[in-house]
Amino acid sequence: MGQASKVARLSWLSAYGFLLPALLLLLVFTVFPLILGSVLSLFQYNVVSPPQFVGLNNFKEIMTDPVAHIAFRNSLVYLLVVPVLQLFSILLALVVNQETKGMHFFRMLFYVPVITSIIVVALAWKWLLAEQGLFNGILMSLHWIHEPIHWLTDPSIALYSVMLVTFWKGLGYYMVIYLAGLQVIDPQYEEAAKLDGANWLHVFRHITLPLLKPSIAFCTLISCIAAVKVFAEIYVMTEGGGHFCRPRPWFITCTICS
Amino acid sequence: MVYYMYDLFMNQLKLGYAAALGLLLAVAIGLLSYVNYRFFREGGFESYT
Repeated sequence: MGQASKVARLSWLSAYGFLLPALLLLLVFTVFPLILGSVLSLFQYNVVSPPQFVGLNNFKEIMTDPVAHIAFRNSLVYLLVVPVLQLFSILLALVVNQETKGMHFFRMLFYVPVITSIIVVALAWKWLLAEQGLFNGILMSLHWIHEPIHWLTDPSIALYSVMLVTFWKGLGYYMVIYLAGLQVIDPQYEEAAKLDGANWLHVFRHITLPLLKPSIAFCTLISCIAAVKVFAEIYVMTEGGGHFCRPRPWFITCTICS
Repeated sequence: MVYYMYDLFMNQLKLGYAAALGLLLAVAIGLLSYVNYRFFREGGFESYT
């Protein structure tokens, strides 16, 4: 075996050695559940009785299930948070990108919601948006409303209230990504544009925004994925709204067994 | 959508149906990621800049 092929073999081994732990985790926690879920989707199974093969009947049922349609529509509505979140994150990144005294503190401050547990955030917002909560208290003390708004119990606004929490929590995260994108833009472009008479808006429209496009594409994608699979906020704040007020057999079974 | 899956799985004990919904969601997210991957691999916004 030649020296070159020995080095190549060692390099190959070390590369896969480093990749192995991540690949194993991916296999156990993503690939295996996906395969198991795919198989399970072809069965009717309720834990108590043995699984019964039903083929594609579960998928056919989804097509005619009105609650699934509502859930799908709500997921699409939830995607409305994505453009708003991206817009405000870019604006916030532009603000905190200024070299002003104390700006590092604000960068840290806007990132605090990101590192806070989603359960804590959702509980805090649940209290803020409660009928006797801070929001209604302020609005009523200003005489803007006479009766408390049912932020989390009115089906027409509950979804938007939860979207507000997603927006608030995600703002700092996307801000940091956009800030990184802004800081790699060569300041010479801006200087050249200003020498040519460009104002702030021209610089933003023709230099900053085009150079931020890769970051915008990335953030939009991960934000869309996060919006579609949102769970914790809805679970903690609304418990799914009115559609899910039914007995919980699993909970009852556990309570009886324990 | 995910909350409905959770409700189907944990409360209504319709494990197969919940898995079918989950699979559809996984396919949708996979498609979205694939489109993004292809777009960036073929130049995407980099060619613009």
